[in-house]
Amino acid sequence: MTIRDQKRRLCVVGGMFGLAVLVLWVRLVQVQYVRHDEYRDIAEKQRVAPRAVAADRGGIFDREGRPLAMNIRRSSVAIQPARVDDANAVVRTLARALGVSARSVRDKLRSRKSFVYVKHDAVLPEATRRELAKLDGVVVELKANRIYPYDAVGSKVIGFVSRENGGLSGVEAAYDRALRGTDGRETVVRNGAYRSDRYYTQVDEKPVDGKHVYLTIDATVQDVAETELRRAVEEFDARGGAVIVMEIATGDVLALAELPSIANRERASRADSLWTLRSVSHVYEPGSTFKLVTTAALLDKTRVTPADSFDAEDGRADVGVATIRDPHPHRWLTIDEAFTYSSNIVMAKASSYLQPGDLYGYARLFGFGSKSGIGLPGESAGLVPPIERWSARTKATMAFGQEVAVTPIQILNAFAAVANDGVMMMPRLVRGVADPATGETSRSEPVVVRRVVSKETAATLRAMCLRVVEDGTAQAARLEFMRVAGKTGTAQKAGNRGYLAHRYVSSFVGFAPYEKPKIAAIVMLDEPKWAARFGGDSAAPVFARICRALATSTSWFDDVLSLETLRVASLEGRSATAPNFLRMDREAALSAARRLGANVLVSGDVGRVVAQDPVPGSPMDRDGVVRLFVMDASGMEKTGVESNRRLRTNYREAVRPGDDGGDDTTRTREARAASSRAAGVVAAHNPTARGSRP
Amino acid sequence: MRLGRDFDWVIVLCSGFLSMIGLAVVYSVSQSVGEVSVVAMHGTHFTRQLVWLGFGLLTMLVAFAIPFRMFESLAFASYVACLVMLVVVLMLPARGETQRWFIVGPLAIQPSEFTKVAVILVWARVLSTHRADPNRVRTLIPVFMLFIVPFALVLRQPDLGTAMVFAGILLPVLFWRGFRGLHILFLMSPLVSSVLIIYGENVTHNPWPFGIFIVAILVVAYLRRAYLVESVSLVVANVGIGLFLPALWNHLKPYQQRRVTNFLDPDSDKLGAGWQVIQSKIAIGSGGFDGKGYLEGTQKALEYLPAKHTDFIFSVLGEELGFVGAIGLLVLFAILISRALLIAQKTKSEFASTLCVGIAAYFAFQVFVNIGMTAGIAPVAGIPLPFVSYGGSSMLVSCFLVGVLLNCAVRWSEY
Repeated sequence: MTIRDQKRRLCVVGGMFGLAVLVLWVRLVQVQYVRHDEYRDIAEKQRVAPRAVAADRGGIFDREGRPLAMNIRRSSVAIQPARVDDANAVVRTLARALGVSARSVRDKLRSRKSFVYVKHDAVLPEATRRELAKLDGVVVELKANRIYPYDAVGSKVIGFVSRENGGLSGVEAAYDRALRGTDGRETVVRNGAYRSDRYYTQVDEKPVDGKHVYLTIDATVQDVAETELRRAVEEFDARGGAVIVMEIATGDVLALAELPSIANRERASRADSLWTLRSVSHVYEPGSTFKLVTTAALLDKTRVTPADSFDAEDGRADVGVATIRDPHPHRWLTIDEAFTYSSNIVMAKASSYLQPGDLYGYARLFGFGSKSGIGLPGESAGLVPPIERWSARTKATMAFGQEVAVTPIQILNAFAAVANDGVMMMPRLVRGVADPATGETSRSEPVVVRRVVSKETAATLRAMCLRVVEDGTAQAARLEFMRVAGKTGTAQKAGNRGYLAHRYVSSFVGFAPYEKPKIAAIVMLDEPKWAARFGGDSAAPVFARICRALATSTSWFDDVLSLETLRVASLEGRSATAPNFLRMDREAALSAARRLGANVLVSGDVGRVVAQDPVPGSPMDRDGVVRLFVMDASGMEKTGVESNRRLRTNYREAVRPGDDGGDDTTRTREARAASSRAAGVVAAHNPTARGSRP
Repeated sequence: MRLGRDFDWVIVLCSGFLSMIGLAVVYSVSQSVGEVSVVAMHGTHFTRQLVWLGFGLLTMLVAFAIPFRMFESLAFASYVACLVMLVVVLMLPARGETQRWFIVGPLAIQPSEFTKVAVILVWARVLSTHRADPNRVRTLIPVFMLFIVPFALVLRQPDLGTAMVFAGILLPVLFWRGFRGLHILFLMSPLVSSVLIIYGENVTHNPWPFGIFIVAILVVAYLRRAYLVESVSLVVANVGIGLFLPALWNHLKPYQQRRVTNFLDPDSDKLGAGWQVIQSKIAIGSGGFDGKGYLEGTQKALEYLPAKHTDFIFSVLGEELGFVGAIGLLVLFAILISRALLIAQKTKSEFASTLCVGIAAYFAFQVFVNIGMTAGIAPVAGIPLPFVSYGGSSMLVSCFLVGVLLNCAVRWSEY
């Protein structure tokens, strides 16, 4: 081989090696220089993952501080099959602690995924959580779940939340911003070796928990309202209805019940029209209840007095612009009597003394045609047509509540203003918003909207309302122990082509007690059956029942009622017999008590009812307390005899007046909390769950 | 032999720098999370690598001191010894999926590394005899036999990467001894065709690169004035592969297909087999021009890089020291290799000259495949980066070969 050939070959070999180095150099330029940004982003993205840390949603409480909506922490348990050391231990422990089948856990262990959920939203005690987290390859995640301890009570007002805990209706939606809080942020730095495992986390921003919202709603009143409304709707075969109860002095809404309503929040959807709060969003023609406005205008703006008489023409009158009918024919009626017997003809005739501006002005003065200010989503202002759009008959028909569209809350507020000596309060649903972290509270004080009528006019109107109940159309609202006042309304429903036959909205708006009005309430029934179409027949008795229930099971009427009348009220419910709770398990007994409306006092946390006092079938006071002794099987064996002896001593304690046992007595409505799904957490709010007393 | 004048300081400095860089990066890797368990067992990789470097220096001295004519006479003996070791290691119980190591106490000895030295020696010996002519069959057959036996044994381990190193050394050595370049093209072209076909079928779905390649080799054959027989057989061989490979491909098991396509297109299986290459590229690429800083590599620290102290150590270097560090390393290797070629040119002994080309080829091939693998342009093969990757066998072999280079340099005038 020549030297020249060797040099050539050296060049070729060297050239090939040089080419290899050049290729590497080009590749490095490409990877490290040209595509550097891209790779840097990928590296960052796979290394750190920013995550939102959910803030705890604030609770919703009623005026007594009872939790209507709150968060509980549920655990979701997952396994990372690749990281499980002792498969048998994992299977055994998970199956026992979560109540899932060993087989399903084993199947999930075999999964090729790096992260598999075994159970979602389980209620696990702290100790179990710790035990599970100790196992290699088992992950326990805590998640806040929204629960509603009172279930469907007030469900429409309270509303519901999405899966992501965002408020979608009711107060949950209206106060979403306050309730929601601010989510925090954290960065998870991930390890490449265990790709889904968290290596460490770094908290960038702590979450700010949501604020608590305190409603004016009283859960007890709400429950009474819902129960009575449901009963009436069933009894009168109505399509639905609404009851709103309001504290007169403050405008506080104590209850807002509506039917049809929602039984539970499972699969709740905003699209579901059942969640719409019709009490504030749905307008209807009020009918006779609107005569309050007409009468107020007559008294204030004209020389017409309650004693002035008009001819009711036996139920059918041509007033020039329209033919008007009264369901109950009368001849000569004073204004006072016309209000009492609800004569459309007299109201229409009397309205001729009114200027259109006066009627329109009074309607607006009483709050019609503008939003009440209750602050719920979807509120309607109603419609009072402006005078320039009035027809010839408008004034006459508006006088008895036609050609005007109102919401139930507006009508109620108008009557509440009259009951409040002529001063209109703004309906209030939220008393305050409190920050649980700082304790900082912003209260919303009662707001005076305006004086609607003079004190004297208000007193006159109240007296007329009283006559309606005492002698007039609403005698069904009468109570033996308290004087109540109000006005009935029976409005024909309007369709696209005029009024619909046989379709009525029956209502009663009233306040009680008459002497010192404390509570105002509207009862509205949508299309009750024909026989009960008059508000006085269907709605008025509901009002009475609500007042009776409030007198007996709340303290709302305590300071305005004498001891004597209270006694009468409670006598109503006397002469019950003790129901049988024996051998029911604890939960069943509580739900039975709820169903029967019995007050129970439970001793013992787990097991069945082994004894009760008074014994089944024996006479007892309806508001008396049935004591239940709950014990599990092992406890029965050990102390079977002793428990009978304890029963006797406890009985004596129970009947001794002034005993502190009263504190432990829980009204059935509160017992809901104990029996709700969230037993573990709610227990802290419920004295009965704390267990037996010595 | 005049030590002062002919001692090649450049090679010593290059390999010294490379070892220092290697130690520094191994130290950096030792600082990451996964290292804790290793410390408990045998000390950190760093301290162990330091010990290996000491032994490496000794080996280098020995390789330098012994006249290279001794290697010539020891060539066959060492070759046979290595084959015996390769056979023995295959008979030992498997460790995991492969049988590559002798385990002696805390040491894992990899006989295939030493076999690389042995084949360089034995080829240099065979091809440097007077009657040897690489263009004759009677020379080629023994050379091929000497190649195929260790190749098959290592392939059996299985370790395709190391087996390919033998081929990577053999071709330049043959060429250096006068093998016709056209014949190398001959030998290489079916391999290139196969890759182009599989790539075309499975990744790009485009058959054109293969067609262009056929035309290209025909042009080369014409320009190089190939015999008609040669040209015809060249085309027949490549077109034959083009026809039969797809059928053969469909006979492969899916996991075997995946291994191949995975190299050709690592993105096809990001979390599986492609993971290593993707993460390595991310590490190098995110290092950028001047790196994330020594000890600051996040890919390294958080266990994204596989085999980061051995085969993928370049990724750590690329991540922490960036393009600057990577090119520095590449330059050092380039200098080392070019010095080896210069010695091969200068030395008067045919044996020493062939030896030096073999050594140059060894470094060039290892560096190209290793860095190419971490940068995603070469298949994932268990080939260490000389002087830098953690591992005793590799360190000893590299040091020994550098010793041989120095040996040949100072004895350039000996025949």
